[in-house]
Amino acid sequence: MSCGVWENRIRPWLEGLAELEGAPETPPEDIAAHALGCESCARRLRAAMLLLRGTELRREPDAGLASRVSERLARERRWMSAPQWKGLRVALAAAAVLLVALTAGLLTWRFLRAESGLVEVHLVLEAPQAKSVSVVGDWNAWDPSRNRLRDPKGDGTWEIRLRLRKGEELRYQFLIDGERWIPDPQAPLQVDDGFGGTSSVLQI
Amino acid sequence: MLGEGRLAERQFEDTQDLLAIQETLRGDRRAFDGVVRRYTPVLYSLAYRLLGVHEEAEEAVQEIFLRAFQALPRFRLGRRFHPWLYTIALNYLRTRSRRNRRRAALRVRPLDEALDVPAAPAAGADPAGEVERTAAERLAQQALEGLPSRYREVFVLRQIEGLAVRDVAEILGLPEGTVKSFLHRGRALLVARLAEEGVAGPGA
Repeated sequence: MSCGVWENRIRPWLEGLAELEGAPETPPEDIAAHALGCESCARRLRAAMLLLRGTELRREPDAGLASRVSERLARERRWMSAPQWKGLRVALAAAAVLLVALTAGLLTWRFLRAESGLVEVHLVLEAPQAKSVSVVGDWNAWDPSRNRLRDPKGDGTWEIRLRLRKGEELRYQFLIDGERWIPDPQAPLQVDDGFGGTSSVLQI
Repeated sequence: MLGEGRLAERQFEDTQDLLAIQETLRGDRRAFDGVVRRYTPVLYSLAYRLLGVHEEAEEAVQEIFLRAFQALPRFRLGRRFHPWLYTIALNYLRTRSRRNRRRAALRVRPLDEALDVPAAPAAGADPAGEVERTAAERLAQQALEGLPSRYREVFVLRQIEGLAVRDVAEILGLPEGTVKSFLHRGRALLVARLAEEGVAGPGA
């Protein structure tokens, strides 16, 4: 069933409102009076006002949603970070090295020279099965595209030389194949990264 | 258009976001909790309006934050955080929405299903008013779901979430003129949809 007032009066009024930027105020008196006695028009009119005002359609989440999100992130972060160094040590100790051999850690890092406030740091990671290795840390905004390690001999020994500012304490991790985050296995200082994982620390 | 007060508030929030992201990337767990608290309400509202179901929206918010968190190392600190987060959210919501539509194709939903079964009003001063409001909101949601997806996204971001045209353009990768044109066309289409859908409601 159709209502003639909707077609002839309310709809043209709403179409006029839709042309304008901004929220509509209350309907004209004749439209408001008709809506009092016509349930269908009243409901559509109210829906139209909700839409054209917009912000009244914002929906509030349940009070606990943000906490649940944070809890889930903490859980997932632990999973995302696996295998962590502790997990690797267990795996190596168990000689279950077939799948995790890429991270068997023999690392050397040393400071080569210091000049004009910069220090050259040489990072090396043994990761025979890795297809790519990046180092991400405080100095490169944890951007994996900025410091990729090279494997010049193709023997799984990945390395990079970085020039970093002297006197800073920098946290970092290796990212293997774009998905496995590990701390530097033999860095002398490791810290909790706050998400259930571990970051290595360079003090230079 | 954002007023000066809102613009200043947005700039302040942008700065807060960047500080929180920096802290997060340095390993401070609580810093990202702050981001979660700040953006859970707006992402929930966005997800609810694009998916139409409370449980779906809650789950989507969790997945969006998880994806954002995983992608955080790729976030460039020179950018503003909230358009980046919204872009991740929309990519996820589009995928989820497509999946839901494929599932829904197996189940025919009566056009006025929601109106036939209005939610029971909470114990309050104006239960009849609550029922009317609920029915109108559901009708508005139905009309919204009938919009082409790009119009719907522009409408929800600009009209309901209240984002600036410039931000909507950045999030959706559209020129600002196109955003304005989609918004204008979307408002007109919504009025037309209400004329089609609401006529045969109960009691009409």
